[in-house]
Amino acid sequence: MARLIQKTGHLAPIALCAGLGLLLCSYANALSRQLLDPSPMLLWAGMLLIALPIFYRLTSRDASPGERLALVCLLGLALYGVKLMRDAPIFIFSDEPVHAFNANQIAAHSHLFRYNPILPVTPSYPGLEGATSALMTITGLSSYWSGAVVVAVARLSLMAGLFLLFSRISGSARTAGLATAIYTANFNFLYWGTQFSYESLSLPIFVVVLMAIAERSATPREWARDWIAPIVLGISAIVVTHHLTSYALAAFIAGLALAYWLVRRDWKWPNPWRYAVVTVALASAWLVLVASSTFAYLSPVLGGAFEAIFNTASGEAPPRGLFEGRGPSAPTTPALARAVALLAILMLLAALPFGLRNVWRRHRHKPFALVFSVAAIGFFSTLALRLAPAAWETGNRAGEFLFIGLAFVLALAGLQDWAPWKRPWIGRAALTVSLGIVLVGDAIAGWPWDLQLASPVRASADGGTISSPPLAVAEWARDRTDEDSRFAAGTADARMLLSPGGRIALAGKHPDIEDLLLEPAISTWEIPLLRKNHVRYILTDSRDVARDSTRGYAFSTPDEVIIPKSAIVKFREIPGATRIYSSGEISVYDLGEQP
Amino acid sequence: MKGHGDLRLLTWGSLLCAIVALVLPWPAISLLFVAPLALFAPGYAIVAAAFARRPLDRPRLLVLSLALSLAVLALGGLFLNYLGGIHAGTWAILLLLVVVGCCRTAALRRDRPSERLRLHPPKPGWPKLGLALGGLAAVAAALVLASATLPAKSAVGYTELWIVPELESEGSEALVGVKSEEQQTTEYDLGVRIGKQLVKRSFVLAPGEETTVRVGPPVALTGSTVPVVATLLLDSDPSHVYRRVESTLTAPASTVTVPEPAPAAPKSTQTARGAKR
Repeated sequence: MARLIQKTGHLAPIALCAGLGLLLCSYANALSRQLLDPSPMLLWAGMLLIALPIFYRLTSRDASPGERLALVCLLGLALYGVKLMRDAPIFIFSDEPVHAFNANQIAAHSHLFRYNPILPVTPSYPGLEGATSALMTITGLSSYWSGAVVVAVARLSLMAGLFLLFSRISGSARTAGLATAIYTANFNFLYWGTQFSYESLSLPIFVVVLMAIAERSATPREWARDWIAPIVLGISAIVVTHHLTSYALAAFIAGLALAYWLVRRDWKWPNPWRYAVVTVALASAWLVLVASSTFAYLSPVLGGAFEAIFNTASGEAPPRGLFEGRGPSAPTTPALARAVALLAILMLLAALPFGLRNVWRRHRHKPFALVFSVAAIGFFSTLALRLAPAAWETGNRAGEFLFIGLAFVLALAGLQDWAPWKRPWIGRAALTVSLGIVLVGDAIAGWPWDLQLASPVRASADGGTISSPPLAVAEWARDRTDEDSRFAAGTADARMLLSPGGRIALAGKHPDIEDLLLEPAISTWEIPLLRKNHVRYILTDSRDVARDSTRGYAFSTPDEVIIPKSAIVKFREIPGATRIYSSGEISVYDLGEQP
Repeated sequence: MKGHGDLRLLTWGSLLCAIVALVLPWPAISLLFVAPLALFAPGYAIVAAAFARRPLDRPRLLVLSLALSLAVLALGGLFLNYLGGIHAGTWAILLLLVVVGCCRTAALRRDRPSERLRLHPPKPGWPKLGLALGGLAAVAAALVLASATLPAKSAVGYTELWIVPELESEGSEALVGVKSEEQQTTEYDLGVRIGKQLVKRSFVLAPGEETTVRVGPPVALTGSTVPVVATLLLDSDPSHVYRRVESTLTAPASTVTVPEPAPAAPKSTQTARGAKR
């Protein structure tokens, strides 16, 4: 066996393990789609089968830089595969139908900036959907498969970019490989960060821009101009793709420029302050000239976060319970899973001082290392935001960027070099097991417990194929209503109506469709609101879970929670309204041309 | 671009990929040609132009090629939005222009002809190849399993009933549709009341099957509206209205008789198993 390994290298057997791990994940999801209630342990086993061999190999001293690069790319793609195994070939993560609708609109109408009723800010950042439209229009592929290819290539860029960035800063391919592997353990890497959403494209380009800045700094000054075009192109692409990433990039480069000044005490080359200015200028211009709706989109989120932090800190509001889902039907996470997640965070925290010490000893003269150290400490402060209800999402988003710094610092903690009783494999094995725990624990912490595995939206039955109620009504709307028809619907149903339904569907609080659907009787404000928004159809859903944008897409089960019937039948009272569609739980009322 | 094998290969390869991808009618095969054209070539060409005097090492070249290609796609839509619209043809032209333009720039900026393009395809031994193929087979099996539609016995089945105006009938006719999303083959009794007239149909649908019934025009004074109510009963429980939808029809100018409703017509490729009686 040893001879075989030596002759064939380690990549091939590790690739086989990754393939088998993916198969195990797919099997766990297949059982879940059959509502057989499999243990998530199957999913974790699959993930660990993918990751542990790669982690262990990355801790070794004898792997070449090329092999390490290939291993981290394999890790990134295989973990992206876990997401694809979960719900192919339909977008059912909460933001995915929104962006798929935008991409379909671009492909169908040949232009950007078309209206999106659920997240009106998204058409103003068309980078991802524009890129997807290239594949859609040339090949004829659906937005799902085109988007999956774009996100997969972005993931590949992310992993390779991180490796080269860390490699340049640490000067060690071993540290770079480990840091990149540690990054895969961030809360959002497995699911949230892989969805078809603008950040899935902008974050990888963000990393590659950082890599380019690091490379530029390491080249002789006379060659530095070569980097201008790639860096500016990357910054421009981020600005048109995602608001928060462009602001994070501006902040990061500004922090980097400050760190250069602290180390060198001047603003001359290679201080990258000019790129910070370029980023701020482009992001500001885009915000003012094209995406002014971003103010209205972000200000409630950030304002609510600050208010929640203040209220929680002052004791005016109770802290948010950890591991509590946001949806009305979110179950609690089992104690054992909570323990693994908390252990993972404690392990990260425990390793931090060792990493910081080694950064100070070996890399304190490197501006990137200083910024990464600040980011690593900042990551733990974002964990505190999880205790404030409205600040949870802000902390979660920020963590994805700050974890880049944390990964670098933790890779320098040195556990891989621990050799008790002169047995270096013990330190390597300890690090491998630790990384496995952190990978699984952070995946538990980053995604609702009951959504780790797939729920069925299609099923085979007696030789045919049946669809879940939200999917069926969306397909009915696509086939049987006019393209410009406007619906009012619950959160989950509206997303399905957007894609695959391809119809304009209003939902949520602005306009207040949420209360309109839940009120027990027709109120005076409802008909004017419907008229003002040119709503032709009202889609009612008696399932309580229909208000949940992460859970409301699957088949009902016998224990489904149902909302009061009065909220459904009240629409018969609207003059001229007729119920033209009924599937039991879901009804569609036609208000006529002029509601 | 004479003397620059990589640039020539990139240019001609991109042109070939664009033509083949546009011509091929099969999306999955077309993707094999679009992928290098859209996700690699533009970035490589930009890197070649930017680093013409001092080539990058291979890992950095590859990463920048992928990432800058994504950047070109993200920004390209913006250009096309104002220059000709976003179509397959304009995308192909834009990508080719980026590739050709940057390759030409790279050729002009390079100090000397580049070394002969040498690709070093890996030559794995049989055991290594076998393991790698095993991994690929596992991924393929995982994808097949993920795409497979599987039974979910405890999922609650249901039936869709709907009524929509028939196109081009000016509101005088409607389509009533029934689609079974039940877990088992189900017998239905459909009743459609158009004013005082009652139309009844009975049929059997397997899971996933759909049937439609055309109703109208109503017998009424010209221009008057007549209510239409469709009720669906399960043959196994005829005392209970399973589904109910309603609409209105407008009597046309020449209404004199009540036409017999068309037989239950399958809408899609999945055909109804036929009328029960």
